[in-house]
Amino acid sequence: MKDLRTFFADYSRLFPEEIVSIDRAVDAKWHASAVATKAERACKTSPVLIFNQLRLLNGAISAYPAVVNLLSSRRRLAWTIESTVERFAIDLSSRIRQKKKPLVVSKSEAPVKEVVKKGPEVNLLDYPALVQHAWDPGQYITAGFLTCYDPDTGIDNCALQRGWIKKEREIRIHIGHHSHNGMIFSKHERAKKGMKAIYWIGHHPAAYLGAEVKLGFPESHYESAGGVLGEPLRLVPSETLGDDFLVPADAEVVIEGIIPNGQRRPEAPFGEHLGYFGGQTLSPYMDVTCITHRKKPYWLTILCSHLDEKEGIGGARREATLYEILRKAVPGVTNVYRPASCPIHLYIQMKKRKESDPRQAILAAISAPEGIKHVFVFDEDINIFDEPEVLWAIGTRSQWDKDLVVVPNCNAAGLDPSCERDGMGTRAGIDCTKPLPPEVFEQRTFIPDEIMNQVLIEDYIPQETLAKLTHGV
Amino acid sequence: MVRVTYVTCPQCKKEYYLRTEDFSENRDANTECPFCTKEFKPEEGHPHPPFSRRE
Repeated sequence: MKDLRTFFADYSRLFPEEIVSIDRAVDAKWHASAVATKAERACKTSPVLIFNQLRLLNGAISAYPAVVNLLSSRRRLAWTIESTVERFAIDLSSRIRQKKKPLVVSKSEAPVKEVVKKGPEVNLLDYPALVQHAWDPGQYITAGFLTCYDPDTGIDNCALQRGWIKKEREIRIHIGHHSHNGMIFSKHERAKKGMKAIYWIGHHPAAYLGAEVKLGFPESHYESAGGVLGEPLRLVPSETLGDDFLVPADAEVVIEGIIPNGQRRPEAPFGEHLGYFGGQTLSPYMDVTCITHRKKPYWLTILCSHLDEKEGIGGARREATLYEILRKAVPGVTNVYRPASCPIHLYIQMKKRKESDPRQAILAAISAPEGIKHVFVFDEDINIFDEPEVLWAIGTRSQWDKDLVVVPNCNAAGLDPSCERDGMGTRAGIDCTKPLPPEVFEQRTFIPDEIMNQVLIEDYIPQETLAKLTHGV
Repeated sequence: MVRVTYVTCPQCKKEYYLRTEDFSENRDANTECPFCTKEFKPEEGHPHPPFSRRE
């Protein structure tokens, strides 16, 4: 059985330096995100940070540890599914296809039921959620899967959707009109019913990858989580939403509640994944009925607009879906990468068979439901994980009067501030591939392989000097 | 329609913005200052661009 605890145990054996436990008191408001930001800038691989002494907004030290940066490293996430940085999208898409039916266990077998608090016993302000950025109005749930069931099919839907802990038992939720959870909520509202929902927080990173992936509607995220985990996700009946509402048994925390129909309250501004504050919205809220958790739960937070979303889970989930879609549209696609530098860009690598292949790939990528705004298509010899090489290929293999595809008036990422109109924007792509024969194209420079393989740099530059140069000391 | 509308909190005088679409469709709704929790009508916060220029 895999969970966050087994991940910590396995990973820290191999990479002990990547899990850093901090025992100094750190404020939940801004201070913890500042520490994480400085760590992100200072370290080549951003370590997982565990804040054991998180000072809450009321001045008390939280009884529970806060965890950030768990999902921030592409290499770390790749490791969880026995993959590599380069093969991550390919291997993740394969795992997502191997869905597994969840396994229902009894409450006595569920670690998430070690502590059960209902009604007035619940005080969400006691938990170590962070205030991340200067305009954020309070503590936010950012690594919680808002989960509900489609009333027509009974199929679950999970999505990482932010929630502002407004009061002891009130969470204001940014549900997203066009998200699958938003569609399910609309069905409840049309029927004038409140919607039963949970947030589940903290699990094995592979469960996060599988539950966050974009699926068709309705499709079970519990099943895709099991596929990526490599074993069925264990579920257990809820405490207050009925026995047929199943929740992850091995999560760290589960929050249960009802989202009333027809009610909206102010939510945000909030520092979002594109690196800007999203404006205040009028959003639904959850009346919390219960919280269950382990005796000492790890409260996981995703730092929005930081590496979690740039390099880690934010990109990973999209890549797997895009790889699937693109392979169907253009079989010559060999890999995809959503770069850390901009979450709405996509790099596609392909073995071009027809001159039309890059355009087909661009059209498939920008019409996919993954919020990609700009697409760049490269030949197989370009390392799409190396941004200088990518920029070189854009510069030397494209002429924008003929290689640019521009499609105005598309759906836009809701948080893209460059859109003139809310929800509408331009999507585009650039074909940066060489022409196929018989067209001719210049040869890129190279040094013969036999010489490159012969040369060991340590034979020419002392190790000590190299180490300083490599680490920029 | 512009995407965001800036308002100034009448209590703490700090500035932030609203999603225009949400609040223009719900003229009776209060906004809540993220800095001091004051609730007020957007019109009281000197919205800019002004409502008349939003469409």
